[in-house]
Amino acid sequence: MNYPDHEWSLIIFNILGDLSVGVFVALGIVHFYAARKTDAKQASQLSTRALLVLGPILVLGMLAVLGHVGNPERMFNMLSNLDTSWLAREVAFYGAFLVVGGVFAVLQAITLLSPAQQERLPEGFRKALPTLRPILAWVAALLGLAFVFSAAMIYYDPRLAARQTGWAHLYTPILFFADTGMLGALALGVGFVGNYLWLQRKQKEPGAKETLSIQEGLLRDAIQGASFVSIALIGVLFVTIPIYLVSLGAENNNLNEAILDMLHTDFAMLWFLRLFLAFTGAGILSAFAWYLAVRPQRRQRLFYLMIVGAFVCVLASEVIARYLFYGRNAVLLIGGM
Amino acid sequence: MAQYGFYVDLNACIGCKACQMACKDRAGNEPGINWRRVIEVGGGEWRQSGTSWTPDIFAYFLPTACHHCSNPPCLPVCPTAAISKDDNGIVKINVEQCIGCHYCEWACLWGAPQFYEDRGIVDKCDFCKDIVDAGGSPACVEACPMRAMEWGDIEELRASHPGATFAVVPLADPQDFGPNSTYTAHVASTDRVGEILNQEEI
Ligand code: SF4
Ligand code: SF4
Repeated sequence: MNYPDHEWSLIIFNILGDLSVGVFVALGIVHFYAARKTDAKQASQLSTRALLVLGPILVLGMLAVLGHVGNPERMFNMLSNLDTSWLAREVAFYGAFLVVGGVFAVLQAITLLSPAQQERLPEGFRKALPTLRPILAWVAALLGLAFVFSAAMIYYDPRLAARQTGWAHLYTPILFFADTGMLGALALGVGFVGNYLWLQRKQKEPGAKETLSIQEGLLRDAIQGASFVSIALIGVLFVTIPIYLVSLGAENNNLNEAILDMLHTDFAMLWFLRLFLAFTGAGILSAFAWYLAVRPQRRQRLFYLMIVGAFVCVLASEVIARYLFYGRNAVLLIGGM
Repeated sequence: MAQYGFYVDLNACIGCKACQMACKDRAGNEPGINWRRVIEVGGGEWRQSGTSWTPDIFAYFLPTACHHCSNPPCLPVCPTAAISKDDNGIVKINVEQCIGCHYCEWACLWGAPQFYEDRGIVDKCDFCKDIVDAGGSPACVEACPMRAMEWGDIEELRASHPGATFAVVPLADPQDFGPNSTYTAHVASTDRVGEILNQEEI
């Protein structure tokens, strides 16, 4: 049985992809909120730089997944079977998200230009921007979510169910979407902290003081939202995981037993670490971040540290979760034979 | 549309692996890749009678390859549409189109599609389509010195071997995929369940 060990590229691809979609959607929500609370200019100060970081992350994800396939130069063949293949759909949605999101990011970046620079753009184009941007943002967000959904369906697919890798369970889509939400929210929190610190360094520019205090308010609001989302999602995961394990046990076949057995033996330590890190990051540290966010003027440094720590823990936990997810497949190939 | 399939009499098979070698030879497969595999299955225990212990053991061989399923799960999941099923029911991978994503490997219950590290593609048993289309027999069937294997229309094979079945250990339960191999089970396996003895080899 020659089963190659290509899963790391899939783990990286899925995590970067989900993270990007999560950040994009969270950014949309935050931007909408910030524009209502202050004005479009402040909102764009908060969100645009974070948006621009997504491009390279998505390209990195794409390069990673090409490590999984044997013939990367034929990658466009992967769009040939959109009719029945969730894998083809996943690739299509990922590509479309990258392109539409990229165009949106470029249009959004225009707001960072000085008024004089903006003047130089063609008049008609400038007039169209306010209508164009939200449309593209919506389309990109939907494409991104469709990507996450198709990615989950690759494993959830009833045609794969027979392999009994434990994939064809609601746990799979919940894992993928919870992952998207938690990573997205917390990564955005980290991005905002970075953005704020960057603005702080440019304090000398005229009007910076005022901008800064508005930005600080927005940052705190955003982090409250992010921690709330991650706490809620970790709650969902911690309800789903026991249900999943119980249902594997209840189905009572050798392969499910093998999965459960692995979690008790070879993978016990990893499994524990996964749960511990998720709980620490998305639970405890997020709760702390929330606590500090609602009390301005207190412990700035610690506040930033909490959000960064929460993100790092959740990221590590997700890497392990995906590793375990694919680990089940490798073991069971032999059982199927 | 016809549906080709394989039949093997497990009582006749002596596990010489001539089919496996003939297949490798015809397909030019390097070590480690076997489109047809011969699984050794065995079991048993020591039995005590009076003061003496005697072994009560059994073993048999199971040649297996792609089953050219009627409803193959490998086919629809392929993102490149590289997998097709022809008029004789042969399921074939177009290696020019394949990108080597491994998805068909995940979908197949029996480990038939196999990855070629050097070429970056996946390929599997194609029922010796070129030979069969030209009027010959698949290399594995031709090579068997015990004449344990037959090929042809699966319905005819099933009709001419009453009692032939796919339910032989250790082949995975076919669900609704409709694998088109059928076996006359080994006599030793009717009341006992063995396990795979040559795991590293297959
Ligand atoms: S045995 Fe496997 S590779 Fe062959 S047709 Fe069936 S699912 Fe596809
Ligand atoms: S490995 Fe090749 S044949 Fe198999 S699903 Fe991927 S592209 Fe299709």
